[in-house]
Amino acid sequence: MELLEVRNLSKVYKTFLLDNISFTLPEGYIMGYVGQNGAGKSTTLNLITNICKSSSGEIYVDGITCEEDESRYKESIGYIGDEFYFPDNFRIRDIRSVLRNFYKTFRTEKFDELTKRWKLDGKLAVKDFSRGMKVKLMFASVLARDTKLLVLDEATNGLDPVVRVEVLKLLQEYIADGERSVIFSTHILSDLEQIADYIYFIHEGKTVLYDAKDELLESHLLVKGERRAIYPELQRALIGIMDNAYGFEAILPSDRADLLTNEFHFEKPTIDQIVIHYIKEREG
Amino acid sequence: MKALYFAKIDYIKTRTQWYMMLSISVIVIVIMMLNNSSMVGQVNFMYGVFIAIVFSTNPFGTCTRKDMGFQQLLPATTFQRVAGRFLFGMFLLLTGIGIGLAGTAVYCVLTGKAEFVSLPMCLLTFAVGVVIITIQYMFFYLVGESKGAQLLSLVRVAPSMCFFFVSMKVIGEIQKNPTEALALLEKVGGNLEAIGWGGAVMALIVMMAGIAFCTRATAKKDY
Repeated sequence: MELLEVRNLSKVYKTFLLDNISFTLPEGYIMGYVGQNGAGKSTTLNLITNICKSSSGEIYVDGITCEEDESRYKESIGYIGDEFYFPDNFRIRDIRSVLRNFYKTFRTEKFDELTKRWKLDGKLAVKDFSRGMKVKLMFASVLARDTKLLVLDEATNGLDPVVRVEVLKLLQEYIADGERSVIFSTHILSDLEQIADYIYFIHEGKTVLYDAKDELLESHLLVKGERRAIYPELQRALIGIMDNAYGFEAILPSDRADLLTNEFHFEKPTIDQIVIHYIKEREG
Repeated sequence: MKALYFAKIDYIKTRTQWYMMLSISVIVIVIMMLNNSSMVGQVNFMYGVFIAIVFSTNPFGTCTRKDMGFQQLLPATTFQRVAGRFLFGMFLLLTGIGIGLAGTAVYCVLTGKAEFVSLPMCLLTFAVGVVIITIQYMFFYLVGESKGAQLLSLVRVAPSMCFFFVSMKVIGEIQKNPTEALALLEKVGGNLEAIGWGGAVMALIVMMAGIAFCTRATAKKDY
């Protein structure tokens, strides 16, 4: 069953257009939502969480839209952002009290257990927490209730490698029961390489690629060689040709591999490389 | 119920300023009582409400874009969010009135003097306070909760100052011509209580209209 369904989603700003985004995310999977700064990642995620209102299109989470039942829709979403969103002067007990008031499924014991396990100091105002502690607190607030969809907007930014690994482990545990899903935007594409099942790549508000991660990796080749060896037909098929000290590097759809002669080397690309070459191609 | 929880969030966010308001109110009332002026009850009242109006806009001052987003994430409707903010303002106003009454009671006990604080006066002061707060909140919701912070000081202080000076002027006039004031009171007679209740009800209607207006103004807003 599709847990998240986005249909023809658009958002018009004065200087930016998020243009006709559509995708689905089944239960039990993680989607990596990637793109450059200003590509429209946060806009999409803010539309999903209803922090922003769409200009057109529909978003279904667990079968319902926000307009149909705002409370149930929001109950089913957990959001962790790049920015820490709890008010600065709140302490852990204030957050616990507010969440208990608002969320029917909030479990105080689970929240206390997580804050204790992660050694989050209840005496401090949250503004005095480190970045890692803030991310953990946001996770505790989300994991202490029954959500279906976890929305992460560059949540691992600024975290040290140890905490980042912990976060990635948490995400895998979160979807382990096969009933919950995660949509995860990040610039650290190696994180996605480890945990994502689907990749959605957006550039300047428009969809560039959307596929299962393994399919995406299988369907592209990283080609290297000398620039002079590129002939016109290959030139047209190569994506994002970039010169370097040893010649060139580009991405080629796997189904065009027959165009490669012995003069070229090719290998399986990383998500990072695919994204970089597609951006290069788009920017000319 | 969720509106009450939003009022609670506003309280937690402005907790420090809330304590400050209580302290300032107490200090001002004590100083005023030491001056041994006449009509202490009424003046106490005005101070309490004046300070409450000034502080009632504090939640807007602490509204950064990020914590507005936090409130937006909570499972509730726009109406509940807006109604919570208005409830917060009303509770603050009632606290201001409560402080004024408590100050007057303490004054009466300590000096042995009788002070006249009538129910109609309480109701009318409450009504004026509610209308001022409603206008201020409508301004902030229309301009934008976090953007409004730049204009916060002006919009926060100007109406409460007007309220304060007008009420002080009225009290001054009464002190100057008590006979005329008494005559006017007699003329109004038994209607005074009805006027007070009518004013309070009207103010609550204005507040409900304000909540509806602000809900519409913010329903399509992005955070």
